[in-house]
Amino acid sequence: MPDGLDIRIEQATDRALVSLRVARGAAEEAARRLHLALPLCVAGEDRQSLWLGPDHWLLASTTRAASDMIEHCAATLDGVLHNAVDQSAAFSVLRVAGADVRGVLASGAALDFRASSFPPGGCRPTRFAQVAVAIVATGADEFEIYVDRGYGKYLRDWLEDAVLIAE
Amino acid sequence: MSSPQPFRKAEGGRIDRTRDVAFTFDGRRYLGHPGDTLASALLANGVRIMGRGMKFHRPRGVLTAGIEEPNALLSVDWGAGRIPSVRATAMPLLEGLEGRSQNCFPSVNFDVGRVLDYTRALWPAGFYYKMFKWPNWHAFEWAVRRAGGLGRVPGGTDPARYRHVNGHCAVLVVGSGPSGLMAALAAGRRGEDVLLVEQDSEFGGSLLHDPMEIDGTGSDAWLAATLAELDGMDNVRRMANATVAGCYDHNLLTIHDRGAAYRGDGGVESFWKVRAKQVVLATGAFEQPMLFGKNDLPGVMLAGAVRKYASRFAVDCGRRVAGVVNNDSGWRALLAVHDGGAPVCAIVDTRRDVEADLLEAAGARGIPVYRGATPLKARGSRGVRALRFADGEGTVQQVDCDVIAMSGGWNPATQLYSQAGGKLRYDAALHCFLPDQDPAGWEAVGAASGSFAPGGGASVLPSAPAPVRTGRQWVDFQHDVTVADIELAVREDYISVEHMKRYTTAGMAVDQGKTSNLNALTLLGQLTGRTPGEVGTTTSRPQFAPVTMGAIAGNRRGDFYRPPKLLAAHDWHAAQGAVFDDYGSWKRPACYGPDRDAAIAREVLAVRQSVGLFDGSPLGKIEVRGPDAATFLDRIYVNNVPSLKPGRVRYGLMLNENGIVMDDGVFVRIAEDHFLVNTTSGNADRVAAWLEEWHQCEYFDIEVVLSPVTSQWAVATLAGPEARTVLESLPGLIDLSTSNFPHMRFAEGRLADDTPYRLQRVSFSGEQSYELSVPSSCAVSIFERLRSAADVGVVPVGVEALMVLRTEKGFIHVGVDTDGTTNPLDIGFGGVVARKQREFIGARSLARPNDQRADRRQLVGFELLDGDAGLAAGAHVVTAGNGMRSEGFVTSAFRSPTLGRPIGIGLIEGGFGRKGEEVLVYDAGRTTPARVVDPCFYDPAGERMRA
Amino acid sequence: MLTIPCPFCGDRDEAEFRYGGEAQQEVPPSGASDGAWSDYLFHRDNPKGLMHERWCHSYGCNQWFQVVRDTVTHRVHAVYQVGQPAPIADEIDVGDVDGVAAKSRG
Repeated sequence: MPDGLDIRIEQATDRALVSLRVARGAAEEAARRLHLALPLCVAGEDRQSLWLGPDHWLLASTTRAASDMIEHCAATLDGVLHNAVDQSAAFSVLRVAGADVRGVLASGAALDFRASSFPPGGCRPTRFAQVAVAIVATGADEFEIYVDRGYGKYLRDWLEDAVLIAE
Repeated sequence: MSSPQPFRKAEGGRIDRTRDVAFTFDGRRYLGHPGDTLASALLANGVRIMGRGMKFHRPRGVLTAGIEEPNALLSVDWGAGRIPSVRATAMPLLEGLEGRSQNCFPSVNFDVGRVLDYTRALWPAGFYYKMFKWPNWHAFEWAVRRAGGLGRVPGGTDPARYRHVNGHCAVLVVGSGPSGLMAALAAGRRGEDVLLVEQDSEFGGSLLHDPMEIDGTGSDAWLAATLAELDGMDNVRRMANATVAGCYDHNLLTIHDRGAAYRGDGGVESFWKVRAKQVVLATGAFEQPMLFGKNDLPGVMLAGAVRKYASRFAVDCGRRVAGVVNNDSGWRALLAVHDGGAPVCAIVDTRRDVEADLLEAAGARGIPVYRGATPLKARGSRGVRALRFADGEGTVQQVDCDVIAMSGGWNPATQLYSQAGGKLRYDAALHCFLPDQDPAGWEAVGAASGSFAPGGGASVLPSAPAPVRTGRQWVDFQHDVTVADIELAVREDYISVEHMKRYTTAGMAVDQGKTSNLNALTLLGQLTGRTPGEVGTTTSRPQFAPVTMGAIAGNRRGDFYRPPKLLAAHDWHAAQGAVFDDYGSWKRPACYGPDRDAAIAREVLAVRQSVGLFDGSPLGKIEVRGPDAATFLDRIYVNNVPSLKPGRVRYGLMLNENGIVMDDGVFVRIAEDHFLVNTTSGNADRVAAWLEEWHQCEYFDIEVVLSPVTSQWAVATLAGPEARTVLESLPGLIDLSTSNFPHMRFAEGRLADDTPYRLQRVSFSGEQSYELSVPSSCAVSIFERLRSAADVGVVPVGVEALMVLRTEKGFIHVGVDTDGTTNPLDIGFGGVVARKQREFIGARSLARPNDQRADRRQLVGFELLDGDAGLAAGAHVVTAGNGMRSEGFVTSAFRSPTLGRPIGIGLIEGGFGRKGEEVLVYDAGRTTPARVVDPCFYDPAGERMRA
Repeated sequence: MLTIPCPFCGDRDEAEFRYGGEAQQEVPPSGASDGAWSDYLFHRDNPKGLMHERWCHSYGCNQWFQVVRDTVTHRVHAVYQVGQPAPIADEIDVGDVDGVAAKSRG
């Protein structure tokens, strides 16, 4: 690695998050009605949806309140068993960006971070630095990492240390 | 200032003579050049003794010129901390490097440990094992542990940094000799994602010291052109100073990469974990030693190594070289050494038939040749002075020399191949083990596959192994295993190769037998009438070469060893004076204040007398929603679920299928089809996974969705007679009066400032108690508002005080007061089980006779008869006159601040029927009389928590 | 370290998964004998060769699924979802699992 890596780490704040879990067998119907992300992807702009599993999405918005999103789910998913719960305070979201970002992330997870395997628009629930995360490729060299808020400080320290020793 | 390097040739070599590299060995300063290894620089300076043998402390010089070195192990520091047992032959010479010899006292040149050599009759193979039986291992252990072993573990904190990196590639090429480079080139040209890994500091393998013609051009030009072409490919990466150390399932390979560390400036060692679709094994082969007396003397070296030092490093290993060989490659090495200016004074070949062109070449150079000869012994004490051998007619002869260059043939470096599950076969013509059945995705090329010349011709045809000659001929140099030791093993019937290895320790040193296994198993075969193929090889395991412990650990030290999970109000607790401990994955306040016992007592009394504030955020919270939610949970809990009305809370026990208590906690019916399951803090993830597993894998008929919400909600628990008063100071809550909101009720809503809340009235302390949940982002503000509420002094309470409070009440803590044998009947839930008429997880197990026995360990309380003695968790309960047999144990015990005396709860055989009985509590050598009592010591009627 | 092809997330490292033991353990009916119950709880076939087993991608999509794995070579022959019929060993297409090298050992 060359001296002075090109990588920035910052906390993304002020986004409302809603965990949406739907009944088995109802995932396709829910995805169709709410235009939810396909497997291993992120979709939408104003109200993003992150794919976390075949019946599980995380909805994220910087403009809408969690309660609005929950009501929207209830209205749109009428007749479909689901549970939409406010998770805005449950996650810490770290944004890591820069030309060297994929190399640094490769220290934390066995996931294939090469652009061919993890292009922008991808969302990967995985294990990173020993903890459960969801990683979203928001650009060619930009990622957002969603982690349990209890591990937020740890993960930030971990990433900063990884950058330091990779330099 | 350049001091002379007496054994450095005037010209040649792949070193940079324009620059000096200063280094020290055992405190003496020397100079070498960039491109040197530590070994080549020491040899250039005339240093021949680099270490001492592990067992007999005999002086040892360098044997090889590579990663397989068994002798020249030094303790080395180049600014990244001292590393023991570094192979000087594989250590690039770095500026300022400090090398130290190991395993010797007072010095490598005069070592008192050599006395072990003179008393060697006392230390035969297997002497450890014999000493275990007789006379007495403990009498010898101290001395043996001091004398044995290699190097010393560095003290203090390792200043070096390490990191792990994960990688993926289509083709991993291990080794960059001609075959490896060709494989990398071919895969690169196909456009595949290639990773080329070389353990040396330079790419090229044998081409760096054994130039040849490739594709009609000189190998130097070919090498330069090939590396340039590889560099031009975006799909090819290459690493030098990086050793592929291990191969694991599904082609996960680990690479110990010291490239950056050797560049200095605080560079880190990297440990790569690479998943490769294909692996090309181009690791070459290891030259094997010849067996003759005192073949461990400094100056006895492998012929290929002597040539490599001459050709690549421009170093003469001595002034007069004698050759001891059994194959053609040894001849070619000797001829090259001779042509390089170090005269060869004899070639002793055990074969009678030698190619005419080799004989001609030797004759033209005036080198005496002895065919069909037997090497007998190296002479000298601290270095070779002469070689004694029997010529083809049996006449004993002696030639003076200071180097004996030996070649006993070559054995492919198949260690990684074997780790991957590849099978080897013995090739009698080549006298070595070759790759035979490739593991999935593997291919061996070049010398690693037994193709010893890039052209494909067999250039190495050693003679059949010579007949065994007994005595002190070294087989394993590092572990001091001789032919005599293997003979002894055979005499004592250790004739399986695995037994022989362990009995003699041949091949068990840090070099893992790269230069000894073939000789050892060949000898074993000869002594037992078997071919090497019939004897077979031992199993090859990671690591292929020693890997720094730090590299394996990576950055997992300090707080990164185990990720600490912090409470949302962590800093607030710290400001209140919290002392944090690890509870599961969480860091939580154990108590508030430096004097632990005093703080815990103060906090307990605050809850009993006024009010305490506890952070219960880690409490597991799982929402269960759907038309079948009640049915689902009714199968999960021992308790009756459907009868619970919305807005109410019930305590529940969960069992595993074996009927063992797995978790407990309350569950809430928020609405008809909507439940909230609370788990113990340590089991939040486990219970969520448990519910998920049953839902996904077994209960296909159940319609529910599960949403873990633990981290969303911070929980402030207010407990004590003043709890309600404090809580009422929060505007916007419901009417908290007991008539409106009694014990075991639930409510949710929004506070006056619109903060959403969930409130449940439950008690783990036995006092009036409320658990208020707000979003974690509001944790600090809610804690601060409650603490400073009204005129009441709210005392922050840590986990330890809560443990005392619940023990006073006789409330169990699953996993502390229960273990892997405790069923619900044992802790007093027989009535609940009996009343439940429906199936639940674990129910069938409770019907087994063993689960119904009356003498099972059952939950009781203990009070001491002698009031001042302590009561410790873990203490065994014994009865006088019963031979001190343990009948159970104390599981939780404290000195109760509330009652002013020690109390405890625990599990003892038939405990329910023994209330009032006197027993003895045994702890740390002391027995104390105690009485079995009811486990609830405080407010047994439960009036305080319902108040 | 195994590479396990999660049917939902693709190839992932073994460290992301939780092992669930042999698949197709039928829960005995409520009236089953102590012996039958004990067989269900404790006795497994532990075959040498092909084994049907359960895995949960606990650090990923959190889904349970089933794997047909050779316990000798660790080769993964097939993955299938819970509730689907197990592929019969003879019908397993050795080429259907990407990412796990599938070269038969001679």
